[in-house]
Amino acid sequence: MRDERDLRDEIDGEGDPLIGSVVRELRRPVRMDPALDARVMAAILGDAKGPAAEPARVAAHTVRRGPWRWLLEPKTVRISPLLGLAMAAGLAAIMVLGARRGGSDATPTEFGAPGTGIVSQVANPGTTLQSYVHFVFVAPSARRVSVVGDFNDWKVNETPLRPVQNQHGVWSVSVPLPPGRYTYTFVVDGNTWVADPSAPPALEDDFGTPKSVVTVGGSHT
Amino acid sequence: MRGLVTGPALAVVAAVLLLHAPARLPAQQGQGATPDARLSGRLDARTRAAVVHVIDSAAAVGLPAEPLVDKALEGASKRAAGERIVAAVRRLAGELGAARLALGQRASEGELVAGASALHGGVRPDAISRLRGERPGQSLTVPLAVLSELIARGVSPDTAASTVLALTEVRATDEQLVAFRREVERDIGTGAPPSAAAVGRSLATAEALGAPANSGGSFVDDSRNLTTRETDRTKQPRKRP
Repeated sequence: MRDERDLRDEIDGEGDPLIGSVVRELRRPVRMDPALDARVMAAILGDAKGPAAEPARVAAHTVRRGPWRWLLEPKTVRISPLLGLAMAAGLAAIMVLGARRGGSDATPTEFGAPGTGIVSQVANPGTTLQSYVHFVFVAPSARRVSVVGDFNDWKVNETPLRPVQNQHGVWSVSVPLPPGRYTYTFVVDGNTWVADPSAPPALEDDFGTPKSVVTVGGSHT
Repeated sequence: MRGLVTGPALAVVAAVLLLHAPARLPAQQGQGATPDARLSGRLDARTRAAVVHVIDSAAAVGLPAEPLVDKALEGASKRAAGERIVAAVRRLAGELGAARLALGQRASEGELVAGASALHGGVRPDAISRLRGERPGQSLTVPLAVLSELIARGVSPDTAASTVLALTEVRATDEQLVAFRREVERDIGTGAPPSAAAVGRSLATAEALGAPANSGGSFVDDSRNLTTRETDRTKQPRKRP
């Protein structure tokens, strides 16, 4: 068995002149360039800070990111406790309103079915019941949509529909209407008259353009 | 620590508030103006004079002006010829008058408009009068509108009238009548004959409302392809539950 001394002699190459020369060469101290440390540190700082290493490229990058930096960098906003409470209440109100509107948009119903219909009814101080009729129309390629009917003097631009958020091509508007029967039509891009596919058609067709009917129930004055 | 939210932050809050503002618009904004003023600028002078004459004549016998103005404005918006607009207004005035005869002097404007539409669709005036008798003191706007909508979907006027009348007899509410109409539309959409769909759905609705199953049918079914009960209502009047 070999002991520890025999093993060291073997590693040192005592037994073999070739191995011994290789070991000695590997153990020889390496001479370093005195400026190497400075160059390495400059390169590291250049990656971190940019302008020191590559001024032109990094300057352009900074200009390109400029508008985003304000949004992306952390900010400290200081507000008074009173204003904080007011903002919290405001956000809560927005969430409640958003939930209500979202519900209406998701299920614009006349007693449960999708499409144009009555979404809410409000009792006025008098005897009449005010209903909000939610008009819904799907037109993915339309630039603008409006509704014309007995409730707005058939004025084409009087009651524009607005795109429903997160529902591509869906347009809607809510219109308060007292009890009664109303005929109406959608107008797409100001010149195409289209009956509401989700509502009953009107029997009367005096002018050759199909139209639809919405009926608001309740007692009339 | 005191401080204020900066301008950009307030702009973000304002934008959120605007995005969530309800899209509600005032309706019937023109009703405060006189008919002549509302028609001015929408119709040529000759057509406007003829329409105003019809409106004045109707108002003289107590008929509402608003539906007549709406009809004229609809024609104007659709760029119809003057003669056609005057003819449409005159026709509607006649139907409003007939509707008032059927519904009574106290009929509301909504009832008259819905009744005029039903008459236009071919419903007989006596059917409308019977509806009035079944709902004294209650609005008939929705039942009459449902009646017209059934006819517009292809249900015969007599069948539409008898089904709506039957449901009114068993105290169907406005919501139930609208639901009934929607079910009929759904059946028609799946291929059912319109009048058969109306009769079938009205029987189901009436039974759901507690009408006696053996009370006899009061439906006029001119589709003639049903197995439902068919009797002449005048011979076997339906009893209220």
